Amino acid sequence: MKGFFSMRAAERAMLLFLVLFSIFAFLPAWREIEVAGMVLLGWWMALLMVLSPAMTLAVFLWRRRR
Amino acid sequence: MILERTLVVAYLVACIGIGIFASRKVFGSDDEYWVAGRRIGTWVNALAIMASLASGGSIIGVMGLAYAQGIPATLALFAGAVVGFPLASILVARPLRRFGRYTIGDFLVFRYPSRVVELVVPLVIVVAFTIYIVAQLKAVGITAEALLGMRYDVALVVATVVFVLYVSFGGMLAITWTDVVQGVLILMVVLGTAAVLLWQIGSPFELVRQATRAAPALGRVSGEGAASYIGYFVIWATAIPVIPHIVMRVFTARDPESARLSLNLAMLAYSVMILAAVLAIVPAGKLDFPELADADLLFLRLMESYFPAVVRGIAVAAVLAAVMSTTDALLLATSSAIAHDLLGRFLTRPVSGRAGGERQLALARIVSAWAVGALALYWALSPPELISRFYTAGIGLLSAGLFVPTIAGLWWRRANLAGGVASLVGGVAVYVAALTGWLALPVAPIVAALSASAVGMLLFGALGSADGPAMLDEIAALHRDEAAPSA
Repeated sequence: MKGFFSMRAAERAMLLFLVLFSIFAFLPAWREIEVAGMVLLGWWMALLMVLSPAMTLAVFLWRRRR
Repeated sequence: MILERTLVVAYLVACIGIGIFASRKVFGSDDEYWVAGRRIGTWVNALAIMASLASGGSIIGVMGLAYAQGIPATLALFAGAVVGFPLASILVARPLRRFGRYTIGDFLVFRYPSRVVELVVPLVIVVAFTIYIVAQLKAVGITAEALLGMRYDVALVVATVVFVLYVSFGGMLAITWTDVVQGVLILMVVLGTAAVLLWQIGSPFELVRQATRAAPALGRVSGEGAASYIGYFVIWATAIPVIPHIVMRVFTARDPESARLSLNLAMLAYSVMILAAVLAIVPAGKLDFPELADADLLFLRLMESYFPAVVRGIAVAAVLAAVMSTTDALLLATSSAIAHDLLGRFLTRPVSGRAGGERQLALARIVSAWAVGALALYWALSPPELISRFYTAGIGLLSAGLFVPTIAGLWWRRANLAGGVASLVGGVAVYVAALTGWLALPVAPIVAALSASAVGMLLFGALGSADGPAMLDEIAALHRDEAAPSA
């Protein structure tokens, strides 16, 4: 990673989580399975919309406190 | 109808008043006009960012899209925007705030000093944002037509004149003040409507279950297929970190930490609002109005059937607020692309004397705002269908051209002039070719364009000469307080 300017570990982990969760949410299997009338893809997207701001804010506040 | 119209007129007059008041503070200074003196506090900036992003698309368009294309497609699009905020907060907010200029174009021209970059970046912004503004104007027109009984074209002209007036004279300060009011109004109306519907019908799960039982397509992947879902998501996730009207908000923050926190808070508010609209208001609307000819009218029909005149008046003001809070920021960013990025660099160079140049630029700010407003108004008189999808295509152009050069320019030591230019031009060219059908690809246009942009950065970066230590030192200084031990 010498080619890049350094980034805090918590922020790298956050970015990695977002990328991995996004890939997971778009897996083809979730486009067919329905829960409460909607395919799982939709519910994963809703969960991502909750987790993404909550976790980013938590990481930011935790890092600032430290 | 009189009560609704009175509320809306009062709101529009207040916006113009704020613009005139702000103009006294900002007229003589670029810092005051473009970035409100860089002293906007965290909470105010958070509300302003949320309001800037929560456009007519986020109220009228999000519900229309979910109604017509299904909830999963809509959530994929808007989840992209929500994911874009952490990317912006982590990748660009602090270094760009430290960079301390006015626009994303300033950074790209600094990082990749070339006439091509000086020309292409503002052109991309002007094209993409004019499309975005047209979509917002459609939201104004159909709202005023449906709830105020105004003619579509008259509503467009009135709204355009009002927001161009307060933007061209009051700059970022006027936008910030109006955006705070507009942000509160938008949240109040969307969350309030969702709460009333949930209270009457039940939980979001129950609402979705009932609505999808009546209309199964609402909960399924629509005919467009997975490629376009991923495309929507990627467009917004990569647009937020480089989208000029949000980046300008980073420059208005009083310090880099405040910029980051305000992005995080804005994301939270935006996310809650979109989820309330899609998981509560849309299913309720689908149950009550299963066969709407124009899906974008869903919210307005619900307001008519569930709420009294006072609430409808406030709702119209909220839709106008959503449209205007985005449109004013878009207009300022477009105007900055013309007056600051383009004319500021090309036309004022021969002017002798600082005062002459400043007068020219002040005039350019006002003229460019009116010119963009007039162009968007003309286009909006024959509007496109499904505004969210329409302006997302425009925003894709921004992502395709600006995302890779900006992120690589901030974080990658080997980014250089040749790579930056190739990345910018390659991304834009492939996106336009794929979107217009000149290039038939098995993936979404934005995915192909971002890949081309990244390949351009890598390939031409390797062929071109490396940046000198002075440039790398300057970029390193933008990260210095990041203070992570080297990996």
